[in-house]
Formats: sequence, structure tokens, C-alpha cells
Amino acid sequence: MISSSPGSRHRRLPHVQGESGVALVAAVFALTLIGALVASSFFAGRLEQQSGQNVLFSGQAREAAEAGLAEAMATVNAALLEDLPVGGVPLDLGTVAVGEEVTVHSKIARLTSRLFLIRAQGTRHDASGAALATRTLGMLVQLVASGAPPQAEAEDQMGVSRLAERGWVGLY
Amino acid sequence: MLAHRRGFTLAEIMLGLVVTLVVTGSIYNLLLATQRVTRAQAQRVMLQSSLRAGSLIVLNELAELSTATGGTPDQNDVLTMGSSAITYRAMRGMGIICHLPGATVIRLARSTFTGHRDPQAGRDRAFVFVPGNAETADSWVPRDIVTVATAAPCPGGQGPGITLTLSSSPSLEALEVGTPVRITELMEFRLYRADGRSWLGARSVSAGELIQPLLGPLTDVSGFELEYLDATGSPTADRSDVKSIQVRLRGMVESAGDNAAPPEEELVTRVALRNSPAT
Repeated sequence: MISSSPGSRHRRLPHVQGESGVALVAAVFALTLIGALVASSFFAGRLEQQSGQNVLFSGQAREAAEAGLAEAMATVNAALLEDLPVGGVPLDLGTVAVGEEVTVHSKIARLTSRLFLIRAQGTRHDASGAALATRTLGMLVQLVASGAPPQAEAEDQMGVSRLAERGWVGLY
Repeated sequence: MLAHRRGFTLAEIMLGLVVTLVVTGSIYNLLLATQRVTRAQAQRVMLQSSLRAGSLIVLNELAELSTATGGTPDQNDVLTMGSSAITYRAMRGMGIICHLPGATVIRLARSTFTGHRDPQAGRDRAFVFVPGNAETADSWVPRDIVTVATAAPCPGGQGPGITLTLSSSPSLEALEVGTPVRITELMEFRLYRADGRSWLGARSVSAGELIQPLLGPLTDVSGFELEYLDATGSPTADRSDVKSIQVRLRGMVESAGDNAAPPEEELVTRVALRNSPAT
């Protein structure tokens, strides 16, 4: 049984107040130390994660640009290209989502009478839409007869083909 | 008054001191160990990060190379290939001709020029696109860049230009405004030793540069390994047959401490040469 009286509490109080110790200081110091160790460990991990993420975002932007080039090659046709003016304003092929928070914006410009440049810019966005990484690639394409040359020219059948040599371009 | 105050006996003080020493020693050892682990972690993170960055640089440099099976030397950008070294023709930029002031002078529109830097006379070469006709195929004709000037603008309000004076041979015919021009530079990647360690180095061969460290330290002998693959993915020794290159980077931390062997990390990337059609 625990019993107390006002008198006994009065007697013990000065004794408790008079005690000195370092328990609180030591505990705070220990906690701070442990916190710093854990934080430094997390910091190293975070650095690694961010570094890896940047490479991932860069790769996603690059692959999106590649996808944009392939998509443009598949969708443009000779009739569309023949209407473009030489040296004129590029034709905007629009922006397409190629994955979660990854888009590609493609354009095609006419350089000469038969040579064209497709430009695809892949972008990796964050949740708010801000760009985290971008990569732009280009493809030089030209109008070619789509069948055997004499027959194709006679029937006016033209197709779109990438340059056989050095058609792929890294743009900056 | 003093006679009534309680104190500690000598034995209690000694015991307290011993316990304090043991606890303090343990904490100190723990701190040292944690510091060692943290430092090792940070070094490993840096190593992985630099390997990834180095891999990206190599990938970006090699991805644009052109090879053509049985093609001419000008069509093949892989000049020498070894297991830990490669010399290649690197793409440094591309521009579109906006004006043709003379037989050997071309002007590129600054607004269309894309690259790491402007062309440099003596260091770079220009590959000018020449469209084919019924008898000849399309080609990229190489020419030395004799001078580079940036004072004259492009006509028709196209803005600033980059004027290149090219060597007169081989001759170019029927160039037209809008023709693309690629700027190239001879480069070398190789594993080399400096300060007792191995590094991945890069240098401009055409500029006559000395090798500069790009990444490291790497492990000796096997730090930078290249494997050249043909269209079927099999190793090939024919430069014109190369369709992809497998790059293996093996790095190690700067100092492991103690006598332990330094931790190593390995990164393997396969670069498909985007200007090497499979057929």
C-alpha cells in the first residue's frame, strides 16, 4: 500500500529538487548522435537513388525520342511531305504520350526538294508537368520511288525512306 | 553539517569510472565503424554514379557511328578497334547550308546548327550530303575545314551564320541551300595508366591532344573492355561489319582502408550503332 501525507511529501520534495544528474543531457546527446548516423546513412542512400533516377529519366527521354522518330516514320506519307515548302515552317506532328509522364513532340521540316528532317524531342516529366530530362533526336528522310524505279515513276508512287547512310542524328 | 551528507565510496567511484569507460569505448568503436561504413558507402555511390555517367558518355559518342559492310573508308566511322581501345570518327554537330558564297565556301545557319561546339578549322572535317541520281547513290563527301568565320549572316533574314571554307578536293557539284553538313572529329577512347592506376581516357586524335582521364580509377587490364558485334550479335573483327559494341566498365573505389581489397563495380552496356543498317 502506498500512502502519503502532506507532511511526508513536504519532507521529500527538497531532496528531489536537490538531486543533480546528466541523464537527460546524455540521452539527448545519444539521440542526436544516433539521429546523425541514421541521417548520414539515408543521405548516402538518397544520393545513390537520385543518381540512378537521373540516368533512368535520361534513358526514358531518349527512348521516347526514338519512339517519336519511329512513329513519325510510320505515319508521314509522301503526299503530306510534298505539300511542305522548302525551308518553310516545320510541320508540327503534335505531342504524344508514350508512357507515364513521358511524352514526345515531333516536327518535320523540308530541307531541299527531296530531303526532310524529322525532329523528335522526348521528355520525362514529374507529377506537376515540369521537365526532368529531355533528349532530341533527328532522322533525315527522303522521298523515294516505292516500287521498281521505272514502274513507280510511271505510276507516281512515292514513299518515305530514311537516308541509308548517316540518317540518324543526335540533336542538342 | 558535512558529516551528515551522503557520498560515494571509493569502490562505487571506481565501478562508475570503469562502466563509463566501457560504455564510452563502445560508443567510440561504434562511431568509428559507422564512419567507415558511411565512407565506404559514399565511395561506392560515387563509383556507381561515375560508372553510369561514363557509360552514358561512351554510349552517346558511339551510338551515332556509321558502318557499312564492304563500304568505303569514309562510310566507316570505326577506324581502329581493340579490346580496350577504339579510334572512331565522332559526330560533333550538324548544320544546314543557308548560303553558298563560293565553290569551296558554305555558310550554315546558326539557328539550325546543333552540336557540342562550333566547328574548328584543322581539327574537324565536314561531311557534306550529296544527293544521288540515276547513276549514283546518295553520299556524304568529306572535306577538310580550312577556316571558320562567324561574321557574315545568312541571307534573307535567317540570322547569324557559320561560314566554312573547305578544301577544294574532292569536288562538290550541285549543292543547294538546305543541304545538311555533318561536322566530325577523330577521337580515341582507351584504358591507360597514370599515377599507378588505370583510367578510361579520351583524346581528340585530329587535334593531337594528349589523353585525358574521363573515368576512374578502373581495374587494371579489365577496367574497360570492348566487344564488337555484327548483325547476328556475334563477335566480329571486320570494322565495316560492326553493328553494336558491348562496353564493359569495371571500377574500384579510391581507397578501401585497412588491407582489404578495394570493392569493385561493373557496368555492361551494349550500344547499337544507329547509323549502321542491319542490311
